[in-house]
Amino acid sequence: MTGQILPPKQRTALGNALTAATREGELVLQQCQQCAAVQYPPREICYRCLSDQLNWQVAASGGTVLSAVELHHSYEDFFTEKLPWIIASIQLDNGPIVFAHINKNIVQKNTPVRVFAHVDGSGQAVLIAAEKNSDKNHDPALLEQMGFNEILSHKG
Amino acid sequence: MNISQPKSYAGVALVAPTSFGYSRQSERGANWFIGRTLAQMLSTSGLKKTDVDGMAITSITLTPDSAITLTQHFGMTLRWLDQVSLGGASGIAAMQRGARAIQAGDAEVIACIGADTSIQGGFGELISQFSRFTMDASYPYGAAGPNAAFALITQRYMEQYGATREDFGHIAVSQRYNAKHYTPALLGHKPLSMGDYLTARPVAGPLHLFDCVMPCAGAEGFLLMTIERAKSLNVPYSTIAAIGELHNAFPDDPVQIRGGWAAYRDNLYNSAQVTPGDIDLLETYDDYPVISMLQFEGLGFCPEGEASQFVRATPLTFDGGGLPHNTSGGQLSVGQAGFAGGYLGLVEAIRQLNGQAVQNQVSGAMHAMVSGYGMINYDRGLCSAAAIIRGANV
Repeated sequence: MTGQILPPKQRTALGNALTAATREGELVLQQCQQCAAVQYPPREICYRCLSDQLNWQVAASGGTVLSAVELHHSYEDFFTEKLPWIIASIQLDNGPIVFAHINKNIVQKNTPVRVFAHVDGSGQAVLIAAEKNSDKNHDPALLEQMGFNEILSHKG
Repeated sequence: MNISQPKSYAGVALVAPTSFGYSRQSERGANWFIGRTLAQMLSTSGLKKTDVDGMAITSITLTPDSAITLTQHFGMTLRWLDQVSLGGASGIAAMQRGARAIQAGDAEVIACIGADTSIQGGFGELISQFSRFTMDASYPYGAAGPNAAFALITQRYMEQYGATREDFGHIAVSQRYNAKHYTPALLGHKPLSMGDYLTARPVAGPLHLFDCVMPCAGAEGFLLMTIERAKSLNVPYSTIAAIGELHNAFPDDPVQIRGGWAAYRDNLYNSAQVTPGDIDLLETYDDYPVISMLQFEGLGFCPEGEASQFVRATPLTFDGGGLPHNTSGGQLSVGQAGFAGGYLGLVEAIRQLNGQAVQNQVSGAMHAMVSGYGMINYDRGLCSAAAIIRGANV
């Protein structure tokens, strides 16, 4: 339960665009219409060919854990009251490296995971890494811990 | 990556190394730190304000002012002006830009100053809006500034090379010893034992309290001029034997366990006509000890992945007879005054080679290696720079 304390809401315009493009339980990333490069974090220009023809597209969600750590300190009350909080860097199979929320049972280096987006309590998309072979589109324990109750209640 | 060897920096003198105004917090603005540092540099070198015709400024808390608005604040007319915002590589980069201007005759006396203030709560605001990537892709995950990114890097480095917390502790504890002999260091009066280091409270992953720098206010600066000018002023000076820079190096490395230094270190040693064994002191950018280790490796003091063995075998204190490292205590013991942290090692190296260090002088120091690193945009530091500084009598 999070009470009134919400996760960080502030994003750039592109961060907001990521949220707008997000489909629950999938991974939507920018893809260059010219060279097909997939990129993250979002930006205005393709990192490979400098095109500005970038679309939000559902991306392959597979990846592996590069590194994961417990945070024992945060500047945000939302996380402070839940410490230690785990953050992972994930190498997606299609290239980009993403930071994601992750459950503590899959934090070993090279663990295969799948990454998906959910809209958090502030109405912003965040990425979550779940077990690779999970047949569910989410990680219920982590989502509940993060205060995604409304989203969970909409799940069938 | 093949980088051609740059032309010599011969003829340029580094004068009046100045560290100013270190405090945990300050009500003063960056403008004050910059202006008073300039005044102090002029005073110690016997110059007038009107003798300065160039300035390079580095500051993250100067906003909404900038290098150009400072000219009016300080009543200065300048013909060369730069604002260098490369985080921990700013000092070396400012020196590089300024030295070329001195060589080309674009300016005669250039003041290079890195300065930042620190106000209550200012750090949290700074890190929440550090960059677009930070705002969209790291801060929302609870990452408190660069700690999370460096925890991920440190953890990966430890797994890959078998480094231990005690290895990192050697760096932190040695620097605290050095800081005890350097008055401005904010933490110099607090002893740090290996036990203290190992039992400190956890911050993120393998990082604990003494792996992290303390944000503070303060300023660092030096003057650039021709050697002839320095001699005519009868002030101590040192010279630039080599400089290298590479930014966003090795972008395909999934985790940053090497910086850009390896790509240009051969150029550095070739230009300076020295080897790592000739380096009398090393000033690394120590935002976290693991990054100092990457610099030991990247700059050729030990092979890649062997910094742990290196720090176990090599005394790092200024008077230990090994490789004096971060002789003023580095950012880990002095404090990190914003982007002035990117000048700290360079200013200390100039002080050492000019023979102007006080209690922590490395005796007979002739060559210093200084390196810079920084700008944690997302998952890694993007800047890298390094320079070999040489005493005037070499």
